[in-house]
Amino acid sequence: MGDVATNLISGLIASLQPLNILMIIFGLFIGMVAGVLPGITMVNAIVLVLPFTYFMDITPAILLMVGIYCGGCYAGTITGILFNIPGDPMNVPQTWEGYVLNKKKGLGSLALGVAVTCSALGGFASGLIMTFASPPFIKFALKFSSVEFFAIVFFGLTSVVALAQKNILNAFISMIVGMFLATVGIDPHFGTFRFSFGLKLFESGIDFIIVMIGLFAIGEVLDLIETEEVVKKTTEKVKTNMPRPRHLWALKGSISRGLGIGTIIGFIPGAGAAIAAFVSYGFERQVSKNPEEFGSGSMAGLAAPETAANASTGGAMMSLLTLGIPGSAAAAVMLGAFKLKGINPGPLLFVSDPLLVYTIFAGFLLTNLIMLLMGISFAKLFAQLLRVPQAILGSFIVVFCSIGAFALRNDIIDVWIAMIFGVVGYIMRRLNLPVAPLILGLILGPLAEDYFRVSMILHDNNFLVFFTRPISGVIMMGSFAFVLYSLLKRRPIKQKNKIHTSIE
Amino acid sequence: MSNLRSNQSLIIKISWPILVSLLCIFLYINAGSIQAPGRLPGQIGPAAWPRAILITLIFCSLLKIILDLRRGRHGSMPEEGTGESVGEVEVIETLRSRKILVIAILLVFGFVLAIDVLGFFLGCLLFLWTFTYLGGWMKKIYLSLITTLGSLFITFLFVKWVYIPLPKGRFFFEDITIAIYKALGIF
Repeated sequence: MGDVATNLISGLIASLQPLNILMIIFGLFIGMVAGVLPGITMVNAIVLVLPFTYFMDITPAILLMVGIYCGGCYAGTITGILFNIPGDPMNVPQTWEGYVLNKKKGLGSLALGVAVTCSALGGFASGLIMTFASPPFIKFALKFSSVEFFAIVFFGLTSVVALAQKNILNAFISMIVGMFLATVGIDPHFGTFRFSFGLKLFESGIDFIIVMIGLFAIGEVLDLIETEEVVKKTTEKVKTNMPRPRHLWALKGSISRGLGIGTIIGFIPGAGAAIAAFVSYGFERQVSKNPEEFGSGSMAGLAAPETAANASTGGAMMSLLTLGIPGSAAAAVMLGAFKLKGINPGPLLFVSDPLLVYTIFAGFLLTNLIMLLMGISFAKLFAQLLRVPQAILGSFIVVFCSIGAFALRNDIIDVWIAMIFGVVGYIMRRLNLPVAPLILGLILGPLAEDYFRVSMILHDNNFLVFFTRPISGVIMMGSFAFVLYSLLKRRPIKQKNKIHTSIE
Repeated sequence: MSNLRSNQSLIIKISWPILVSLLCIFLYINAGSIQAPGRLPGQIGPAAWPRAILITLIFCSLLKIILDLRRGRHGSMPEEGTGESVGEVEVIETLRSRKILVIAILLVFGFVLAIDVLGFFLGCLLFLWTFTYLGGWMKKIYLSLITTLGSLFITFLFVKWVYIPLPKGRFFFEDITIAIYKALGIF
């Protein structure tokens, strides 16, 4: 505990460097802008800033992304409460309650205050959990061999599918396609080419960052240009009223449950803030003494998913930093930023560069505090951003994406690949194929293959080793149980048809 | 009419898994040509993992076809997990012409070609103007102002500050780009 506190103080001093603070504020601003604009998600924004990070040090680069991550999780609720337009899928449950609180109960200003407070509380508390739970977890993780790591990656892959709420088969196909794309290029064990067809384009493999740029950003722009959106709303009376301590005390149960659910779901690879928000909302309704209030302006129904959405960021960051496995699509882009700097997140990073890790932890905590101030002060300004024509946004996004893809290797071929995946992303959206599992498959696939093959070499091709070793056995059985539970749980969901969302 | 539409929808639904299956079969056969120099007896080769993935993908695609065909036969059943939502979203969204989408895709690819041939600045300027215009923003003076300033700012930002050697273009377009860079103080 003492070591953690000392490291955290060192990290805090480092994160208070002017450039780092500037990056946090800048990141929060970009994240909030992206968050309030429907169609422009927080993940899009993180992808868009990638080219800016190429020539930055890793610390400000990650803090910039952390700012976007946290700001983006919250800001979509502003337009949800004010205009019934959630900025991101993760803000949909908050919109259900927040908009009714605003329009029917006249509690819009308080709802905005509760949302920003719960979001900051969720992020800050999950940041503390991440800071203090990571070191003991790392000690445990350092004992892992390739067998245990394979089991963890396997759990990540199965959870991507198990948590897909719209169509489990489509999510699975998307993930497997991602895993296949990851096999293109040089085989890491034999050094031979796989599926390159003699083309230089494929010989170096398909970089997941380029695929992400294409699928998430370009695909989204094509989707935007096909739909014409008319938003005519007034923002004159917008203000944020901070909740009094008694308001927060009354919501303590909802906030605590949102925090727990968000942090755990964030830690699970593949599950992001949207799933955390929906699960938290559903759970809150189940445990509520007044479930009939849900859907007609429940403050608990607003507080729980808002806390969970931002708490998931801490969980996802913990998964990324301790295991090197991204807990969400946003964390996957951060993994890309780490890799571009030649840094591999994981247990060894805590040993080789503890200052970097604790600067990120401290920066994460600071981000949530600054977000609270920005959320209170600028809610009106962010709400006005809805007036920016989407045509302008879309065109600039394509330009930024092309720079991001080009700058990876200063090669125009990468821009072509990004654009091709952009069209693929658009088609996937139209076919109801979620794009997030493909990215996770692309990232986790090579890890799974590597750990699997090393395990087979070490254990004479004995497949049972994954089940006979205690830790990996528990994780593998847990994975199967998780999938089975999800499949069984789907039946009542299908019958009730109450809540729906996609894995994105 | 609705029958025809649902049949068309079913054809689209099952056509992509069929294409994926065929592609997987081709790739599975191609995996046989992957070399494994220095492979020890009993060691898993480089083709084993992708082949396992491809088999899984073929199986899933076939399952998808069967499920969609069954759904089609029993009438259009709702997608799993969809249904009435607790809240409603009030954004006024209308689907625009498919022609606009096709033009947008062509513009996106044209943009890549343009930055390669015309150079980044000119390609960017041309793309921003046409794409924004296509997106429904018709105020030509503001549009020209925003796209010109935007292109200048982005070029200056990434070339001068972030040191990304954005393409200068080919033929005489390279000279034009260099002249613009000199005017911006980049060179």
